[in-house]
Amino acid sequence: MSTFGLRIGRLLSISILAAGSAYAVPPAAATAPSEEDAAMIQRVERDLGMVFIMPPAVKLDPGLRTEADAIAGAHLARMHTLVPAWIEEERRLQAGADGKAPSGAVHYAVFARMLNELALWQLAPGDAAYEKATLDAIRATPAVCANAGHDRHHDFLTRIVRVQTIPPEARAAALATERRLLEAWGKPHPAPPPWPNPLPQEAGMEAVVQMRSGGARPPLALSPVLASLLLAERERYDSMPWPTRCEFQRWWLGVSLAQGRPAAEALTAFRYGTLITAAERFGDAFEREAGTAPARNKAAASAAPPDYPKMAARFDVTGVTRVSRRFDAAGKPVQASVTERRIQVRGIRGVRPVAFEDTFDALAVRYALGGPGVAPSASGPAQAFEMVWDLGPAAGGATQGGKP
Amino acid sequence: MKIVPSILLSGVLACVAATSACAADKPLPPITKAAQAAYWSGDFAELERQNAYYSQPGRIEPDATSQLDLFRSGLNTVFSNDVGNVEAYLQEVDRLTLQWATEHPKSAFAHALHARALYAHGWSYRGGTYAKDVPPEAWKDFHAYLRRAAEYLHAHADVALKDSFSHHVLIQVGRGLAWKPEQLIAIADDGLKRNPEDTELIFAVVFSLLPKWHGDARILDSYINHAVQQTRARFGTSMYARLYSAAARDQYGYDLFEDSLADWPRMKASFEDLLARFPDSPHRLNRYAYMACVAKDRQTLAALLERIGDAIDTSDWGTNPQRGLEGCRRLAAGK
Repeated sequence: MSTFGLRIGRLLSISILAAGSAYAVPPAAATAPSEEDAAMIQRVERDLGMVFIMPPAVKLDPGLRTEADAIAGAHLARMHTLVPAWIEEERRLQAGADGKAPSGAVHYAVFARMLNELALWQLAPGDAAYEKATLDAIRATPAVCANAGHDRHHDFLTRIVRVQTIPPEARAAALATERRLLEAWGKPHPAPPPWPNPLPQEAGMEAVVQMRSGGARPPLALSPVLASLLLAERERYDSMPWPTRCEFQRWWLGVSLAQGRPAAEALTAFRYGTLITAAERFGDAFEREAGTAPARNKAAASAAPPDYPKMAARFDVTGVTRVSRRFDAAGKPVQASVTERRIQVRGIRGVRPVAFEDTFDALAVRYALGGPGVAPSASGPAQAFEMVWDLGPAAGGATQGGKP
Repeated sequence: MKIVPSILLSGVLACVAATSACAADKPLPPITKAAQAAYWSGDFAELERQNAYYSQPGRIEPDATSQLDLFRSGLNTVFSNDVGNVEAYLQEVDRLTLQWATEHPKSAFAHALHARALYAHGWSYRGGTYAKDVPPEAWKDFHAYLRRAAEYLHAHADVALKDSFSHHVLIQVGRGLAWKPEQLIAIADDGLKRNPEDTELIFAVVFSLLPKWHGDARILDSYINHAVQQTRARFGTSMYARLYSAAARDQYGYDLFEDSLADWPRMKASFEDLLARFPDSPHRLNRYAYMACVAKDRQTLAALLERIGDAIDTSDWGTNPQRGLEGCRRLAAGK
């Protein structure tokens, strides 16, 4: 494969999340950081602060808003202690022979760690009562998918809006769980559940394809917005805005439960389906910043080996993506999905980097659908292969591994 | 017009010009927008809540517009969504509303909404063109869906007819199926017993009794008089002006006083009553002035134009409002 030369060499100035923090955080009690680290702390905390803003336009019960602000404030105060420690740890681990670590790499490693904490938090279950209340809330109202346009930092907002739909008598317990889940940041995490295979959006869209062709129908009808986009306009799942995709995930959750899937499994699938991963959070912002945003249709199948995503290069995301694909009788690939992800990210240790595990999914699927077919067969053969994503000096963007 | 998905994000909405609440380039009223948003995202509980709220007595805007009408206009925008494959869309809307009605068998609104969906489906075949331009095959589908809507409401009448929305749908269905005027009037009267302030039932009957549907000037006048009596306690005589104004908008235009039995002095008194009850409404003043122009009442027109000043609302000035307004201004000036 061709070589791929981009390495993290300096701290770039992309400010994906940040525009300012809503919270004043107390000064760190530890020894004063260097000027450079202080700026880094400020940047990370500013980015994190955006996630914990409750926009005034969002209708919340005043009491709940007060509680939410208090939870957010307490969490950001904890993070104010934690972030300097993370930076110090990264500086130590990345130090070269001269005892220094490049600030760009340190910053992105700490940023990655923060993004992964966000992702782990989104996937973490609460106690049984919390899980039931959450499931009921998601099923009860599309309001849980409203995010007031804060597409890239609505993690906390979405949770609080969900709490608002929980019956008042159960809210205190739900908020206590929210506090507890936030207190888990920076501590050893239990392994997150595995990615659903297929992903809920893949399974749901498979059902939509059946509906389009007049085939078997799931037991629940689509809402007008989904019927309009998916049946009448035949849009792709990934072309829809986040709230509509969330609405799709709600629909598929209902279908899954109606089909007898266990509640915990369906809820995990929903959480993965609505997870704001790094790929979701940044979109093609890094490509745009570099002036290399692809002009072609992002979803179009392509036989060309994909370029290394700039976001992945910046965060030092590497690993292996295993792809499975099916062919039609003519040997043309017609369906592909990622079935396994073995991903590493600088700065994330001791836990799966779930925030980054889907970084290569879209590229891998696009390549699998656009890549070479197989000999015609009436049986419609299946095939799996691995794509190795490596940032080594002589490595290619992706290398297609052996076929099993 | 097309509803865009960003409704869930920022409320950037399209609207359907045919609805009374939504002129071509006007933003949707908040009640309409909220109904549209809830329906669009499939939030039945919220729709049920809104319907119950706006069905309460006294839910009337300062310009006499029924809030229930604004709510239903929001539903209409979803039914009328302009999409590539309208059949796929409407089939799914049929399924969704039936699913809701099945899940909520005691909800009159759910049953009415499903019947309304079938009605919308039927109209997608007929389209909004002149009858002469509708293909014969389309008439079959149109009638079949309207019959399904009627049969559905008949089968669930014990629950569905508790909500006057069902009566509203039934009048619309009956209009399409050419039911007799007495039938439509009886449905409206029954609906008004359920909800005396659901004036949309009356407007729906008036529309049905226009000559272009199944009525004539005499039947129309008789019903308008009946409706004014029915609503006198709440609206005085003001419904006379509103109903004949609607008749002018929907058919008669500038020929209202020649081709119908509308009586201008009575209509003028009715407008005064309307403005006394709902004062300072630019919409009502504009409409009053337009009707004065139609009646060629120069003095009244001139006085109203002066009163309106800059608050001209062209949506109240007929189908060619700019030219219409120019002509009316000339009349007022005695030119």
